[in-house]
Amino acid sequence: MSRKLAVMLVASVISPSLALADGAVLRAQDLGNAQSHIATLVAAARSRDAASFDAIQQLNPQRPEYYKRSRSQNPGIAAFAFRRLGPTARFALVDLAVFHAPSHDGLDDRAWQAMQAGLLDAIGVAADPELAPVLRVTFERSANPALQSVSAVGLGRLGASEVALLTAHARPTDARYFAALRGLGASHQPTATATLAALLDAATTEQEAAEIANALAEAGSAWVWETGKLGSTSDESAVRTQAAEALVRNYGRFANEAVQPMEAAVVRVGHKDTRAMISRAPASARMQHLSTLLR
Amino acid sequence: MMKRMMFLAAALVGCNSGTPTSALLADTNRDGVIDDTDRPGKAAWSPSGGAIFLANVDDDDSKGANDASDEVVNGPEDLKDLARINLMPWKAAPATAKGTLTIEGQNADGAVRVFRNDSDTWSVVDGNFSARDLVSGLHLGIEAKDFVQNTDATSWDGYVVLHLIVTDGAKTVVDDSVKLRVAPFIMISNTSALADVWNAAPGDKAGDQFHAGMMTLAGMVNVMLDDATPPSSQGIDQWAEDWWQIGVTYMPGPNGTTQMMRVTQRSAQPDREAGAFAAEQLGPDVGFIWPHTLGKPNGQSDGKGYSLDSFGNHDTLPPYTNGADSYPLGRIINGGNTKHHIDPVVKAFYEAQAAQGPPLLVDTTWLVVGHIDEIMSYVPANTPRGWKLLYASPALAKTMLTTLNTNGNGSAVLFPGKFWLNQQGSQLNVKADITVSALLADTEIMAASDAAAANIAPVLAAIKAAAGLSDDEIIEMPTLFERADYGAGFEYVAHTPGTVNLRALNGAVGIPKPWGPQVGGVDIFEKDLQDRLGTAVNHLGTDGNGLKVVFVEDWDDYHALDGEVHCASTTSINSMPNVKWWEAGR
Repeated sequence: MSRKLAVMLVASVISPSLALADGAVLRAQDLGNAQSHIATLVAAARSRDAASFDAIQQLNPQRPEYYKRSRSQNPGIAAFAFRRLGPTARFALVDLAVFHAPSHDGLDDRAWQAMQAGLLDAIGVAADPELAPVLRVTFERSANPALQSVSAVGLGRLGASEVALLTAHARPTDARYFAALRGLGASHQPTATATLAALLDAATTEQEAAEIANALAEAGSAWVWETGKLGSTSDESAVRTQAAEALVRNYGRFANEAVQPMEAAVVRVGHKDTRAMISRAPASARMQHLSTLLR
Repeated sequence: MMKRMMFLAAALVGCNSGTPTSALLADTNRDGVIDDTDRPGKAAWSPSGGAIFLANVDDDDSKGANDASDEVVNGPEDLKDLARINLMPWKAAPATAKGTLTIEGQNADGAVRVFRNDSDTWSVVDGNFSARDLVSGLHLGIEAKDFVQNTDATSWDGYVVLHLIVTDGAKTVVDDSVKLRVAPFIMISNTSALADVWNAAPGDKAGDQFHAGMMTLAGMVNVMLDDATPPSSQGIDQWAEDWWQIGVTYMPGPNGTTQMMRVTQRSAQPDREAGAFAAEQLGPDVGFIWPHTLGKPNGQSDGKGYSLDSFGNHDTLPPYTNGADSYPLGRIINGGNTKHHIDPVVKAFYEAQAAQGPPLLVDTTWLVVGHIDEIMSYVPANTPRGWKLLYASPALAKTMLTTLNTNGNGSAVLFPGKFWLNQQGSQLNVKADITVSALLADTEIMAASDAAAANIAPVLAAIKAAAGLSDDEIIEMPTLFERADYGAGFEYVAHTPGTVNLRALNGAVGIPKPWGPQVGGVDIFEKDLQDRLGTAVNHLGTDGNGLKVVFVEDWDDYHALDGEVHCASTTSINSMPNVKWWEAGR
């Protein structure tokens, strides 16, 4: 029997029951056409790596005591353990998120949301295109801004079609606008950065400018590009140049809550020509101040 | 006791029996004796003169309520907490003479209580003095019922004027007054002479390791290690820095001494049960206060600001002078921003104390926990200023790792043998160990560390500008960050143990064990910290020869739960600070 056939057989036995269950983030049926394929992937992973599934059942971020003991009185996503479970564990996380929710007992709403976000974060970090439907459906259907954001960031790590989805929502009137901005910032694709730059040029509010600046900082971060994990040298040049130029070009237009995020973004992008960009902008004390912040 | 008796006896010297001599004298010149030298300027209050009294918030007779909560003097120890005022005798006062005492000042009436002593019995002054009182004179004592709470014009401002009118028939023969100011609540700093360190250690293996590290630290500098692990229905709240803090208040005592009480403060987080431990410390010479918004949890506009009310976010910059800006007792520093901030009642309380404020506000709302102690600390130094600033530096951590990688040590392992979420009761071990090269290639860690560096920079700039720090007064502490949430702020936390979140203790520092890259059996982060903090290279310590450095293991119970050594402990003093707040000009 081939491995593929074995997987299909396992899936055919397990999938129906899984499909009827609800996960911590989604109902299985929310996945629509993708439901059976993802159920198959999960079932195959379970047969391959039961240990990961067992281990995740014991993870403290699903437990009330974790949140009670955490120093943060506003529970964070607590996802680091999720992330570090290893690549095969992503299917076990999907199982929790979509098919078999862990116990809700003892978790208040904030802790439950943190656990949901932690699952989505780790699934997103895995950057597996086959799991994109989990992130896409959450992004498009969840009314929770935190879950929208974390799923958008996960989508941003994927391909062109996900960037197109995020771009479609990157409109000030869209309920998912800020989440889409964060997703575009996580993309590191020149097309996504170009969208962000154009949005900053058109931004009319300080809050909007601050959010876009944060996204540009993520996209153009010198430290992140130095990892060598993101893309080609030409992509790096395009992303960081577009980000730096947009930030410098628009810096003088904002004077309140956008200022610090824009300054931080300029520093994080750290483009080698930033000083020259500043010198080409209309001279002002603020532009002079901006140049003093550069690393 | 002898000193107190001398103090009292000196008080009535200097009267005569000619023209009306009734007058109110307090220790205006702050020398511990009430005499004629206290007459000049007694109706005013300034750094150079003016009498002082205490908020009587301790419980000297251990009745379970503070001494200002009743209208009696609660024994001889409580008597020491009353500032003395003497009604000077008018030996020739006619039988038709009478006096009245009024309490004046911005909303002062009701904020203070004045006692009188009749044959060693103290009772509350009713505002009237008989001719007999005027003839004999009286010893009076004053207490405040609480600290000044805010700077609102409709509230008490901490000053009180005792106004004496003596009449004889329809004629006013004496119109006299004396002005006093209540002592403020003073927060201690990392450069204070600390007597106790309180730590909270869960009774598990990891907690025992932490406790052992704190024992070593305290033992090095002969400081008492106390337990602050109160049981509660919520389980152990090991963040002893956060749910309480211990400050002091003090005034001049007899003959050059100082009358001081320690004051515990509970955080403005009413649903945090461990905070009740602060109230339980109420007793002789230990007061308790709990400024917080009533009616709804901590006065926050939303839940995201809740963590800002932990005292890890209420720190004290050690004393500094920067031009005309002088903070001889240090300056309170809080994290927050205009949207998310500490409880407004607590903010107003700090501002009203004046001695260490207005607090310096810096933005920490990008941190998932949101506390200033996650990114800044302060240690003594043999420099004109007397201290240096430490700050969390992702850039230094990255540079150190990059250097190792470049030099062929990319396979060196960080966090060896450590696990994420390896807590008691968990059967799961998620290994934390990672190589230098893998960490440098981790886009999530690098993005978070870069973001942290960009957010730390303006905080550093603000402190540097406020205190006038030069570059050689600032020391980097290697720290990488990770993202712990997505949304509008409150997103980042230390990924490597937050080495800046240390406990400074009389020339020693307990630094979270960094579990840095291991090369040849040496932890490179530890060696770096030992070299820069534990030697004379940065002139740290009061002698400039470096601090005593202890690396405290805090991974499982603290670091993996978003906190470190400083978060898990707090300190107190039992001797007066070497600065007289009343001379501080604030």
